Amino acid sequence: MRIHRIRLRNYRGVDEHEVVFPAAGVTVVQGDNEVGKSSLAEALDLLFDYQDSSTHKAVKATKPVHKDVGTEVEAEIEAGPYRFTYTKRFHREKATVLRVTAPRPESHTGREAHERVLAILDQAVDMPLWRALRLHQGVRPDQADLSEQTSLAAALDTASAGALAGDREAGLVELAKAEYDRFFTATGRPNARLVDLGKAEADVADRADSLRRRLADMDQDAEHAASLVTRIAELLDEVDEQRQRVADYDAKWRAVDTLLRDVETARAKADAADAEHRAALEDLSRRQAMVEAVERAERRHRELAAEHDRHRPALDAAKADLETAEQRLTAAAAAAGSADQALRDSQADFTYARDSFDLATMTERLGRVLEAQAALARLDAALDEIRVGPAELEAIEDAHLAVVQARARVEVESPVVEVEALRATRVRIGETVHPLEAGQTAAGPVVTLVEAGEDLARLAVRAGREGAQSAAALAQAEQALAGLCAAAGVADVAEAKAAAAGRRDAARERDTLVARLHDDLRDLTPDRLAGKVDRLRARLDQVRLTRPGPRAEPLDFDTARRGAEEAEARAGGARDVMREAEGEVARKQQALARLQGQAELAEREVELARRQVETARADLDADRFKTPDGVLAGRVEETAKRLSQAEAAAQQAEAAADKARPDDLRLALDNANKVLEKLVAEQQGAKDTCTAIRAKLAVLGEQGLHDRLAEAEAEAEQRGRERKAAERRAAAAKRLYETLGRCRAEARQAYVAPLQAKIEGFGRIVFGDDFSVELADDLRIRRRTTGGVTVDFDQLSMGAREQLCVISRLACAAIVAADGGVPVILDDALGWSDGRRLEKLGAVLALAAQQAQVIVLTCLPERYRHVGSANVIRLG
Amino acid sequence: MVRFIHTADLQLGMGRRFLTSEAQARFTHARIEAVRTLGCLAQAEACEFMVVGGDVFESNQVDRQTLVRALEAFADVPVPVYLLPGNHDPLDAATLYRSPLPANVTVLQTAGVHPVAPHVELVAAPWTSKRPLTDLLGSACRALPPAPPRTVRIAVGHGAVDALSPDRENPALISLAVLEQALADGAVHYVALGDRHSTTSVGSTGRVWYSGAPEATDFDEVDPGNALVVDLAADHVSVTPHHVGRWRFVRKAFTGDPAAIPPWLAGLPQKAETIVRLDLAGAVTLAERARVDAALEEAAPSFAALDVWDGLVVMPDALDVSELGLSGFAQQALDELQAADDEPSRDAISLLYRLSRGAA
Repeated sequence: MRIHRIRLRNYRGVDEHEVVFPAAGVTVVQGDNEVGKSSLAEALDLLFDYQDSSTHKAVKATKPVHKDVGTEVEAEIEAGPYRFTYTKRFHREKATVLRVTAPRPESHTGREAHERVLAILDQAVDMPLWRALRLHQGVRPDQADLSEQTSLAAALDTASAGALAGDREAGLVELAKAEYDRFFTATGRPNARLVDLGKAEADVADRADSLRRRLADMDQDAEHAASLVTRIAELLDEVDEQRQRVADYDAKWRAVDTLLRDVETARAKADAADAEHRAALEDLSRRQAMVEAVERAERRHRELAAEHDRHRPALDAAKADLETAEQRLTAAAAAAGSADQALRDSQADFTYARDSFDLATMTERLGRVLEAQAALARLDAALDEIRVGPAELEAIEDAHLAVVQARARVEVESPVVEVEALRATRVRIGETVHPLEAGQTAAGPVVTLVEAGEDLARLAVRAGREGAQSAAALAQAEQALAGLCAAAGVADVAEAKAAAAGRRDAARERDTLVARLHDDLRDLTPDRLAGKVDRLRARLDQVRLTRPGPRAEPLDFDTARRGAEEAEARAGGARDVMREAEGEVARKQQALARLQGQAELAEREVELARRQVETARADLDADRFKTPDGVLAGRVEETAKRLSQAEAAAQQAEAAADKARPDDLRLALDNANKVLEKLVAEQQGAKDTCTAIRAKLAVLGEQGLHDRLAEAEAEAEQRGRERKAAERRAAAAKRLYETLGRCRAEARQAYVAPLQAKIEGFGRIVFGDDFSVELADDLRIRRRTTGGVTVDFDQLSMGAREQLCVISRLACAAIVAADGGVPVILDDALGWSDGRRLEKLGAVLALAAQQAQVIVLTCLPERYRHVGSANVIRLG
Repeated sequence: MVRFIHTADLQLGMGRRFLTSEAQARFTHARIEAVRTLGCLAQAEACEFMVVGGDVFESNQVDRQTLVRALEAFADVPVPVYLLPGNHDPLDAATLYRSPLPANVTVLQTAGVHPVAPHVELVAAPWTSKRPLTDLLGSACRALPPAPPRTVRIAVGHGAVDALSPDRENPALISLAVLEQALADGAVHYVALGDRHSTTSVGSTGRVWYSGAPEATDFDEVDPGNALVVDLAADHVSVTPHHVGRWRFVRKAFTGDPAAIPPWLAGLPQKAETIVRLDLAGAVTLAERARVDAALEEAAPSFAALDVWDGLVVMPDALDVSELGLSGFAQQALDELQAADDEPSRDAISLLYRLSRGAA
């Protein structure tokens, strides 16, 4: 399709526009925003899509606001072999006029004209592609671009009818998919229906197997029962035979049994005789035992009496021993008593000596103490006399210094009066009287008064005020010094110094005395020391008074101690001897007691033995009275004879019985009986088993297992068929769907290739030689690669996306141009692209325009100044 | 001269796995009804009794309902009936012949001679297990003294005869020589056999017969559905087969002539009692395939069973392809499927054909 001319009248704000598009190259329609250049594209939609009578809002929106006139759109269009002028007036004086000039003239009006144009367009123009290739400037250009991209894909899909086949084929794919979906899940696995068919078949097959097994078991049971029946018949004969065998053994056994009973009788008789003989022997031996018992008792009695007699001398000896020991003890006790007395005396001596020594020492200490106390009293009195302590001395020395200083000041400050005696006289200067010879001079400070001679003159020299003050200060200092000296009881400074030195010496001597006193007293007071001395003396006096008998005074302390130690040793020895004697006495007492005990025991035993002799003798006598000894001996002899006879008879009977081999016979009979029992048991068991099997089979027979098996097998067959049929259908559906899908994808890919080549051809002009794109099946650009870097379309910059959108549209238009093609309309696009890119895009536009009509609507013509072949038409 | 009915292999309670439950129920019923039909035949032909040569029941474990109904049918037979236990219903511990029987029915429980009427004796060889280890009938007939004067003896046995069976290892195989010897000795005058479902005269005496099953049981039977009416004397025998069966097993192969299938199916009589197996082979076009499928689908409900062993190979021809009228990738897909030439691909082509006709 090619647009040659569009004319608008009373279209929204536009009174009248007519644009004639040149036959070749890019047409740039330039105008300000409100002049209605977008209306040009919109008007074509209006013209093609709506009847003149339409009240669609898109139509209503074109009505001029302030004028009540019809909106008129006229376009001159070439489509395939057709060339026509198409005019529509909306709103008022509605009209539709079609004038076709080629291939042959036609003329239509009204609805007929509308239908005819639709028919022509349908036949000659790919309308969806036409719409897809327009690029509008949206509020957000990138969004508009993207959404347009989708419809581009749809348009291209349909436009590719040649390679991708038509709606019918697309429908077939859908149908094949629907068939496939009947059997498979979205992930391509057999779905529940298919799986369930297999399961159902397996279930039924299992059921059939189970029934088959049960029937096989029944067959086996039936066979088992049959074999049992045979066996039961055999057993009837076997049991009869065995019964006969048992009867034979039994008869033989009865004969042997008589012999065995004879043996038993004879043996019983022999046993009885044996018992009698034993009894007789026993009676005899008991009698002998009684006799022996009497003898034994007598012997024991004798022995014990003799033993008792042997004890007596020992007892007597023990008593004598005890007496001797007791005497020895008495002597030892006396010796120990005297040794103790000697010890006490020597200890008293030792105490006395120690006390005497203590008394002498303490008396000496007490003397020294009393002496020191007296000396202290003397010193303290002397110290009380001296009143100059260190503090007093310091005060006196300070006051003396003040006097000297005051005096010096007076001497400096006071005028000096120098009196020259013209004759001998006495001159008093101040307090000082100077006897002067003639020519002599006396000088002194003028203080208050100068008198010359007693009667000669009195000269009063008054000192100035300063001199008077100094003099007063001197007088005050002297007065203070005098006061201090008086208080200290000294005349002047020198005396005070001497007094202070004496006081220090006395104090030092006192300290020495006090120390010595402490040494002698230690922890005692003088009174307590004196008390101690008194007490010691009293104790010693007491000893002297109370000591019995004359006794040499111990020489000294050591001698006394040695005496005491020796006495103690002697007393210890005496005590040891005594203890030994005591032990001896105890031992002898014990020995005596033991012997006395033994004697008593022996006495009792003798008595007991005597009584036993008496008892035994009485028993023997009683027994002999009952049966005399001779009778017992005769009985033994008689029973021995009877026993030997009975034993002989018994052995004879046993020999007879042994000859018949009763053990072997018994074994054979028992064995035969056991075999019989076993056979009978087997017979009964077989019958029971047989009955049980019959009963079981009868019950099972009621269950109609055969029919159930037949039913299950039939069902299994049906299920198997269903399953196989379904699987076959599933396989067919899968094969068809996959094959169709693959072929369609391949066809699409075949379509994609030329578009891709075209896009890349245009794109290299803009993006450089290393530009390439990857297209998706739906013909969208999926990725772009430049400079070796591949980026998803969505991740590209706004400008790049816009440029790619334009390029892909131009590529589409160029590809379909050969089939008649459609114009590409770019409405204020490329707002995101910079100047350098615009320049290159201009070249692409010019290139594309060689094959397809390209119309650019813009308010910024400089965007397109790089399009070399552009025809610029200015609106407004 | 005595006249009786010789039949065998009623196989009451037989199940066929290719039957639906509905058809199975009718099939079972038909086998029981065959007993009544035989009763009618006995009356019509003035027979004195009926001998059943084994396999009266399909199994000792048939459903109780089957057993009860079968016994009622036997009770309706107006003459005495003598049943011989066969390999399917042996007289073992599981036997169903312990059930109370109608008064006119006798089970030949012991091997040997059974007088059944004045001057008529049966020589029975019942099966007592499923796997006998000897020739039961041979044992019963061997060394059998000749029949008393004016008495006819009928041997009743079940199993394969050595003259017909190739299975020489089978110890229970019936020796034809022994039978013919007994016939020659006058120990027996007729041998009524069961086991073979096709009516068959064995040997050259004309006195040894398999009656065949009165109702067919399988596709491989040559002449089933008959019962024999036998006129017998020591010096005379005449055997007349009567067709009594209603069900038919039909097997048919078609190779490369699919157009013949629909008319052939349509021509079959008594479809509801007919079990059909079709063995299809050969190459067909898509259109033919579709027609065959449609015809089979249409015919199937009429028959008791229509078992199709489908070996048809679809080879689309130019006409098919043009009828499909495919273009672009769809045509490409069709080409690939044709080239693949395996079952899923052929099925896929059929599916494509079906879908494209639906989609058109």
